[in-house]
Amino acid sequence: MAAIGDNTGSTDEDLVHALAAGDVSALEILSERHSRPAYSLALRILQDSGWAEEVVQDVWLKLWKNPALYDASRGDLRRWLLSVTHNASVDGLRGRRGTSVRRDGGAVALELARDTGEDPSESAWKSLQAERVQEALAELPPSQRQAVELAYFEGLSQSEIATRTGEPLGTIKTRVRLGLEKLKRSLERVGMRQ
Amino acid sequence: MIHEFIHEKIGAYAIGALDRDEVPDVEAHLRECAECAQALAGYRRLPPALNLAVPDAPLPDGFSERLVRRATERQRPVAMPIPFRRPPVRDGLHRYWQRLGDALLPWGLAAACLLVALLATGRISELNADLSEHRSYRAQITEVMASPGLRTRAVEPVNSQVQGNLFVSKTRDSAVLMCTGLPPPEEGRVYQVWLTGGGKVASAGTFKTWSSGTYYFLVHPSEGLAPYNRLRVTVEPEGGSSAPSGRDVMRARF
Ligand SMILES: [Zn+2]
Repeated sequence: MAAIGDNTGSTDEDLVHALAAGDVSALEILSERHSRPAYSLALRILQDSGWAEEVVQDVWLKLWKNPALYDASRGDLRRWLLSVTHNASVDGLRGRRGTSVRRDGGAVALELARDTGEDPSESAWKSLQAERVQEALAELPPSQRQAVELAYFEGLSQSEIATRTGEPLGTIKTRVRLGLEKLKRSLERVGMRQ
Repeated sequence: MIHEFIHEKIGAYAIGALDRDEVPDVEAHLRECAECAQALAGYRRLPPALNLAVPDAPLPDGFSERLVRRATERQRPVAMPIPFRRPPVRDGLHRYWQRLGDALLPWGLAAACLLVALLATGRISELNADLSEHRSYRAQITEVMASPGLRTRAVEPVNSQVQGNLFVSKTRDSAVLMCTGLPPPEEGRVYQVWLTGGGKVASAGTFKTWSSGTYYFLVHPSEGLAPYNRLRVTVEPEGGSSAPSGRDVMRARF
């Protein structure tokens, strides 16, 4: 393989092309650039460092073996990596719980495939900082925050959350709905300001 | 009435929190209601944002080196994983076909990207051979699945939660083993597919699953399927064994 070790100034797009051509050093550079947030996400979901590493590496290896999985016209690589890592981690968690078939509960799984386009405020969202999102999440009332986190980071459906917490399903649905509405509004505000 | 009812579920839908049986009504309504579709567009930004809302954890030492090592371990794959987002078994053959189509579709694009990259770098390497190998593997699976008179045999799980089917094509003298819910094998292990019949046992190759647990394996012995009447899958050391030695995970009859 040709060395591209001097490529750290390359764009992700260049590196993905090099990766498609089988240049393993491009994979290494991309991993150094983007693995940390993906690993943090997998660790948050899986609560196990070895498992989190494996899941993130599996995502990279999928891309290595099939570069067409990532389509640059649909969004940046980091966003793709995080989305695929989220799906793989939640699937893994559900597999361990014995609910191995992913609940077909919504748009997340095919999110990227259908994510066509940018609206005017999209670029504001792109620059959204992790700390801002964490703050927005922390501002939610604890019961709403818990419901949103159980759904998103533990892959539970609303009725599974009701079972887990012992709360009525209707209460959980309300918490998820209000929590997400509030989160969306406060992120919109932050996004606009940035 | 239905609009209000569905509208309340859009956020949960966007983050994947609906129960499975609630989804069809929501999706049907989304196709017809511009207001709900627009609401969904707003909520679609939540998952990428939530992906950032986690405590920052430093990468374990040697992470990228280990990744590179795994990427360059060129076990000539007998089989290539086809990553699917969702296990297709529950949806019947029609939906399954759509998804197989979806999964195979990007290959045209991959080939184009690769060609551009090769032209740009002038790097014509063994990757060419690799890619055509992978492409032909997928093409063969498609051909088997599309062949007339395809028979479907249920896979029987052994000590596992695996679900799946064995699709047997007489005309192509091949089969496709489709399974889902099969966890990745332990470190240093692979799944090995065996064909048995008339006191004979032959290896049909090895594979590993991803965290999705879904896998498509082409069974295409050079001597054809005629000598065999059963298939079994065992866990074996990396590289495969000459005879089944590990625990069984599934079996099927042709
Ligand atoms: Zn509506």
